Amino acid sequence: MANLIVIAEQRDGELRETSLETIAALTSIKQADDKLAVAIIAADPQAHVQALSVDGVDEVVAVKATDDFQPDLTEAVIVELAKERKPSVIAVAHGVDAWSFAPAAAVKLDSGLATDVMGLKVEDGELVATRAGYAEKVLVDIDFPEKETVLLTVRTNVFEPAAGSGSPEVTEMAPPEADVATTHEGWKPPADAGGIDIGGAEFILSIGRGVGDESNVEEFQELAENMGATLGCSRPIADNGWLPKAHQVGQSGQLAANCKLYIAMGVSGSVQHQWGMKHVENIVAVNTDPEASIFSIARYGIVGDMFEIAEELENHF
Amino acid sequence: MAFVSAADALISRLVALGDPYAALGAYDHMGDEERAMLQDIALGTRRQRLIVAAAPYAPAGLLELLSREADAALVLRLAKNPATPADALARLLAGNPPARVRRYIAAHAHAGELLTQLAQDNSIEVRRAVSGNAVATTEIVAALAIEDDGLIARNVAAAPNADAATLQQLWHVGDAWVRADVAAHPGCPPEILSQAETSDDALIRRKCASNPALPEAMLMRLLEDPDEQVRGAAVRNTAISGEQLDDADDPSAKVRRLFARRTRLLEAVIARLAADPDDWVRRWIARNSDVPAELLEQLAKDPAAAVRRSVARNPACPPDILSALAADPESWVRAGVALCEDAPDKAIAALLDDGDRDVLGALGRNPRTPPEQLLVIARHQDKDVRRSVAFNRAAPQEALAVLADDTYPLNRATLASRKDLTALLAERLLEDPEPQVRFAAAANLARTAATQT
Amino acid sequence: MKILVTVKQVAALDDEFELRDDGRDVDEDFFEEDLNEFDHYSVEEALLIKEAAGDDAEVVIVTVGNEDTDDALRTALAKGADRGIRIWDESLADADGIAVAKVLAKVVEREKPDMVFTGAQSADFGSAVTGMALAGLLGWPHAAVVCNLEYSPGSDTATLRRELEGGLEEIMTVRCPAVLSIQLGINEPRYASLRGIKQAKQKPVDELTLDDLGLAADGVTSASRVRRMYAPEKGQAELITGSAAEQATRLAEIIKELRGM
Ligand SMILES: Cc1cc2nc3c(=O)[nH]c(=O)nc-3n(C[C@H](O)[C@H](O)[C@H](O)COP(=O)(O)OP(=O)(O)OC[C@H]3O[C@@H](n4cnc5c(N)ncnc54)[C@H](O)[C@@H]3O)c2cc1C
Ligand SMILES: Cc1cc2nc3c(=O)[nH]c(=O)nc-3n(C[C@H](O)[C@H](O)[C@H](O)COP(=O)(O)OP(=O)(O)OC[C@H]3O[C@@H](n4cnc5c(N)ncnc54)[C@H](O)[C@@H]3O)c2cc1C
Ligand SMILES: Cc1cc2nc3c(=O)[nH]c(=O)nc-3n(C[C@H](O)[C@H](O)[C@H](O)COP(=O)(O)OP(=O)(O)OC[C@H]3O[C@@H](n4cnc5c(N)ncnc54)[C@H](O)[C@@H]3O)c2cc1C
Repeated sequence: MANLIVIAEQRDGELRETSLETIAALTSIKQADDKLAVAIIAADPQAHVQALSVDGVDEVVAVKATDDFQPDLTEAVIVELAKERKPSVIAVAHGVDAWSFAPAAAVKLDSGLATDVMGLKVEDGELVATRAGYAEKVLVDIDFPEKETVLLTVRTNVFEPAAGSGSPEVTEMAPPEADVATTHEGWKPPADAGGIDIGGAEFILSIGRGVGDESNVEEFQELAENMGATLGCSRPIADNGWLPKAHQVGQSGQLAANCKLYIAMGVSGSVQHQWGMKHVENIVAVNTDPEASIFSIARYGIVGDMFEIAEELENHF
Repeated sequence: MAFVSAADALISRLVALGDPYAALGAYDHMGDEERAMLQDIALGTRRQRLIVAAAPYAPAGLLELLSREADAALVLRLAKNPATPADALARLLAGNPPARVRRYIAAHAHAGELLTQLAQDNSIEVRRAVSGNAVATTEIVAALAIEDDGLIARNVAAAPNADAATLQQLWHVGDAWVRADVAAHPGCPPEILSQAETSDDALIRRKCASNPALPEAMLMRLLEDPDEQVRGAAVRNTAISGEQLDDADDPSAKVRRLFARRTRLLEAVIARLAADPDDWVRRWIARNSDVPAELLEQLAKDPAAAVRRSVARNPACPPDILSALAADPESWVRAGVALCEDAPDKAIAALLDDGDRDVLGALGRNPRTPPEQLLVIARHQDKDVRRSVAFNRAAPQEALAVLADDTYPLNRATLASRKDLTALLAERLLEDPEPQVRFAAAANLARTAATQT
Repeated sequence: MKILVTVKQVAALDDEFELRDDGRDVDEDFFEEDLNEFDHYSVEEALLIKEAAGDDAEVVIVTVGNEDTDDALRTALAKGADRGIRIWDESLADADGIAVAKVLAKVVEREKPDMVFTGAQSADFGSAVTGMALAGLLGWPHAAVVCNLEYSPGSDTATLRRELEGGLEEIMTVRCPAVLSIQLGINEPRYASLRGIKQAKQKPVDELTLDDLGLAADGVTSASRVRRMYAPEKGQAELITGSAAEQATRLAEIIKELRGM
């Protein structure tokens, strides 16, 4: 029997959905006699127990402390849980908060560590984690020789959030002594992008230099409107003054944070552009060049002329 | 003192610098002897050769040299590189490369002569690539059309060099999609066009209506087609002049939008479209350079900001309207005016104090913006606003010098690629940490040196 | 006053590359190397603080790497940092972020800086581990992904903002000395010319071995090991073939299905 632990997270009192994905990641390697415990640190941890009582969870550990994020406290909780339970795996979502505490906790435990893990398997009885390297160009299988405990941060949007409802045992844990060196002072909401909301859009039609000419931009604007999409663009289009800067997707533009469907037409797929959209689940690329990088991240590809495709698409909306 | 030519001075400088990217930039503008020296710098290590083989900006001469090496990784990269010249591709093919490489060659725009051989390749993927290559000749296309392969049939039906006989054959054996493309092909024989025009399948009639070689009478009939998509395709077709499109009262807004995009429309048609209830119809007509000033004036007051923006971007927009739009409450409309190279001084002046980044970025690109103002824009706190000045062909040297020290690499890269860069600035950029900047700076210096020798 | 900035030389790959014979990394011939982009920002942040503080402030750049990584070190020094430290030992060839942090911790003990900046993550492996592991080893206050910083030398707290998901930022104060991992966009980094980078050779660089730091080669253990490396399944894109009309018809179906139209 092995102990598995998930560190669930809340932000400002709201449970992070990614916690359920992390639970799903561990249930995927959970053996029949393993025990999966989920710990939550919050001002009112009991308020989150029900949401965490999903399939596969045997125990919820409620740590009543504060809703403020304090890396020192989270690390102390992890160390204490590990000391008490000798888990084989501790997992947390690969979010910005985990970036602060997971590596520090790992060195305090002298555990194994792999971050941004997108796959888990057991090979010859050994845990093997898969992550990407070199800007997603390779995958790497990582193992943890001679480590009793392994700490993992799990990539988000990979595992389906755990669902169902179980009746896990609920344990209360007193917050351990921690020398807390940070103080939460407040929040700064994201900047308003000025009218058009690339960050909030669920469906984006994005155009690149393949569009050729300013008056052609109008044609795609019209198509986007007919399809119910928000029009995005690559940098040269904004640079030319053909679309407002707020439409630009990418490293020096906007992140298509909530996008579910992204159609890129005449966009080559430079790293800088990809930065803003490669996480989108459904990417469709339309490009005359079958070797364009955009195809390497797309779910669907059309090798073809964006004008022909656009003209044809107009007939469907 | 011995006379040192500009080219000699530059080559010494490049050798001392020892930078592969600068060497690549200068290469095409140098004589044979200098090229040999630059070649050593550019292709010094395998790592460097791999980079050059894949670079679309690499000089063709160097790619040709690299094609002489039997390194499989180089071969693959060269076959994919759009800049690889025909003789290099021929050498790659002569080396019996794997099917994947042959497929890249078959799709390459410089493959011309090689396609005859590749059309007989034993890999279907390679033959498909040939059929999709726009430079495939009539004979090659005809030979491939015989194959019983849906993808090849589709490629051939859309191939620019497919002749009437081939298209005829495809019309008889192909499925509806293939026949539709045959009907759209400019080489489609008249008998097939007649069949297509009266087809029961709206897709085929629509494709027929889009055929640029369609006889006028057929097109006029298709303009009356019950299907709005067929009518739309006919309205787009420039085989008839805009003057012949005299009925813009189509019940479908989508069709009227297409009317509004045509040039040389009759005045009455233009007037009706300018008063159309559909925003997009007005948006398109507002951009149309045939629209008379009175109507533009009316459209410049349109409640839809996008229509006003279109007026500002209309090349025929008169100065007084541009001046009025310079005070538009919507920044994107003002940015449209700021982008106008023939905007009156008054309009430009009104925009100089604008705080909006799209407006400032547009002014930065505009050669009509006063030099002192361009200097201010080149120093703006927003890096994207600053970059706009690098695109301005009338930018004063002082402003360009500011950009040569810009902390944002892309701004220096944009500056370095200006064809009119002074030697002074190019020299400075030759030491830039960004490869792309050094490449462009060296290309500039070498081009100038070549014309001076 | 002293700020220590850790920097890494990173490798970028083209679309086509080949793996090393042992299958655990890419063949080096396919690398294009550069200073990690995040490190430009952390170096700049340190230099801004130094410049505001006046002459007695010092910025020290540290990297763990072989002599090829001198380029990264000198790129940072050329911007105006005062001196550099490079630590290398062949036993570090397979070091992960945790092992690197163990080495860096010894450097911090030696240098006793008032602040340590690292990049938020590296552009190649991107594990986002090194900085916060270093803090854990030192027992120092820490915060990751810092996108705004107010700190004056000598003060015992700093106020910062962390960039969270979706562009939300958290404002927090942190006790100093601290280890902060720096996010892109916190400032506009300056750059040095190639000439400047060459001239930075004259700046003092300490080349240290593990021995110099009192570390035994087998004392610097990693928390992970690469079992194998491989290319992800190629062409994951499902190609929609056919004539333009056919392709658009299929695309319209996909759109309507995904949008529930
Ligand atoms: C510091 C920095 C920050 C940057 N930030 C961003 C950013 O935020 N966002 C961004 O987008 N870029 C950014 N860039 C720029 C980036 O490097 C690329 O230059 C840019 O993304 C290229 O835009 P593109 O794909 O539209 O153009 P290109 O790379 O020129 O691609 C055009 C594509 O269109 C295809 N095409 C041409 N005609 C047709 C046709 N008729 N039908 C279909 N396809 C066609 C071509 O095959 C090609 O693939 C940044 C660069 C730097 C250096
Ligand atoms: C070493 C090296 C590295 C390069 N890296 C890049 C890169 O990362 N991204 C890239 O697009 N091109 C890069 N290039 C340039 C690329 O190969 C083309 O030369 C470039 O896209 C310009 O094409 P052009 O000559 O058709 O147009 P140009 O007339 O040079 O430029 C036309 C448009 O392209 C845009 N543009 C040019 N370069 C960039 C850039 N770096 N980022 C964003 N927009 C740009 C300009 O804003 C402009 O709107 C690099 C070149 C070299 C030598
Ligand atoms: C594909 C690939 C193969 C690898 N192979 C192995 C392997 O075989 N075994 C293994 O266990 N690990 C391996 N690694 C991990 C790698 O060596 C370490 O991950 C790396 O040194 C630190 O982690 P990081 O790159 O993820 O940087 P991050 O933890 O993301 O942090 C980035 C920041 O940390 C600092 N930093 C990181 N590295 C250094 C350094 N060397 N010197 C100074 N500061 C630094 C910098 O401030 C940098 O901005 C491999 C990495 C790559 C790219």
